[in-house]
Amino acid sequence: MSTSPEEQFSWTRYTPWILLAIILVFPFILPSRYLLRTLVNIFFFAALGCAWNIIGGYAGQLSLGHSAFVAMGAYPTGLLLLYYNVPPWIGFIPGIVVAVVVAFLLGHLVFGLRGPYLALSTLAFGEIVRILLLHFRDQTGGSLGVTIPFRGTDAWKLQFASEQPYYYICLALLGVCLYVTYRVHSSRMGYYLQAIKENQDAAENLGINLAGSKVKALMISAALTALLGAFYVAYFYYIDPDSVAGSDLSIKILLVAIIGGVGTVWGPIVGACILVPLTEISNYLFGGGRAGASLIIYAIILIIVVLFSPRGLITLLPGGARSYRSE
Amino acid sequence: MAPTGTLDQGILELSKVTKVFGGLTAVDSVSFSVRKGEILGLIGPNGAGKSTVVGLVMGVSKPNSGDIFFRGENLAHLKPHQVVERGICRTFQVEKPLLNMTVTGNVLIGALLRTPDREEALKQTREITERVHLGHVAHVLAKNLTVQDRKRLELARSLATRPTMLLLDEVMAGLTPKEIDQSLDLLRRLRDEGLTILIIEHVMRAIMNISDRIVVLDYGKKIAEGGPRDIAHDPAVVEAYLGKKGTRHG
Repeated sequence: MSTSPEEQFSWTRYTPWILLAIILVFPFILPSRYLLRTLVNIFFFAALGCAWNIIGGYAGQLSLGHSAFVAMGAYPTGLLLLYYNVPPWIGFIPGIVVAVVVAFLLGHLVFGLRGPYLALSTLAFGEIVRILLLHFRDQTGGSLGVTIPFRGTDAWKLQFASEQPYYYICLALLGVCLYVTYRVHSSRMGYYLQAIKENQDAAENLGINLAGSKVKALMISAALTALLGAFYVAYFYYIDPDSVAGSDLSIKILLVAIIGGVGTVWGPIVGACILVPLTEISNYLFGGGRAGASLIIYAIILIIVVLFSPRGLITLLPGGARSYRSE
Repeated sequence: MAPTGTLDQGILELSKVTKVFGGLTAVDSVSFSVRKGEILGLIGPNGAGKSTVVGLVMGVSKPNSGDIFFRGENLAHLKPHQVVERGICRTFQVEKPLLNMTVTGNVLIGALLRTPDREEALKQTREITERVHLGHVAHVLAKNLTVQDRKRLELARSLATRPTMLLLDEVMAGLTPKEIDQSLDLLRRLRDEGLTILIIEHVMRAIMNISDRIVVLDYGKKIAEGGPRDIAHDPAVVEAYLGKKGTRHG
């Protein structure tokens, strides 16, 4: 690339490692509960953005219903913990299986559609899941949701009085999502998804199995999203259809990826680093009475990004443009 | 049947293929075969059904009746990507480059079909890009290419999938005479290396020059088949096609 060796030396070589080291020791240096909670939120949304990015960014198949997969991870995990005392680190497995199977079926159903039709059908899919959760209230608690009682620190059940363990768990989950995304990015699959995003007819004519590739990407994305849903219930101790299966969450997930940089490994982290603190600030400034304020801020940021940095804010960082494939 | 029959059997065989769009019979009971290692020209006036034939072979649309065989295999139930895997690749008449990827990226994706190894695929990509005279724009985004280079890219990308048979849909439109000669040279060399080529072209000089045989379509029907010389003097063809445009070239 055009950067000189010295620049490469200082920026791309060492900055990430220094940042990682700071992130790793941060909870010991500054054990502020509030700050750590905000950071867990950043990790969480960055990871969700990563998971979404595989199908929505790399393959360009806009999903507006990803919160449904969060719910598929969160509800089984929460219910198994509540009624059968199954710890979340085992309880997350059925949710992932459900999410992957549903992704497989949904993919074959909707991926014949293109553009706005696909986006609308995924939006409908998210709503269907939300409404089903409301409907089967005997099992899901309906709109009252599921509350997990906290009975003191219990590592077996992933219940901790302090914030630090969650911090590291969520950081590890983000690591998993980044690793999977990186593997997709650097493999043949990544190229294939990009080709599909650019032109489906051309991609098919290069021997790419359109349906197969898209469904595979959605299944990977759904599995990661469900895993994060399982973390959600373990961390917040409370889920209801609006918070884990609502379209607000779906929108926030894709905003993280789009604002940060679609189709890049690191973009969603940038997106989460901007969106999550802004949500905090907006909640602080406008309080609960004007809950919609953060949505207005999202909208403004989205407009600014789309107008002035359509490839995402990651391109503004030093070396950020290199997150995109050079081919 | 006698086993010798396989000798003149073509690598690609169309047998009474019919395709109806709404009330329009775009391809009407067309049969012809393409022999291994030949360049077959497919010509005909606008709307004769040439591109439809390409779409049918690729499996983009399915014939209403009739069969298409490639190396003895019926293509009826294959999807386009499976047809590409079997070894047929097409170019698009209206180019469809992957706009936000470079020339290298476009070709690389084709090459990845036969090898998951990126380095190996890149090596093949460089060879092919040079071969079709796109080396000087290898790192240019496809959306910034000229029309001529986009045509070359169509060819390069198809070649990257390492086909045994190429379907070329007007890859020379818009090229200068000198560039056409370059392309013809390349196609001849590809044929000599064993590639079978079906070529649709409106540039008469090119098609007459390069085709070993020519099939002529008019209103979806095959009206003639034979060597370039015979075709040029076939009364039905002259009337349908060459009579209007190409008699001066002969």
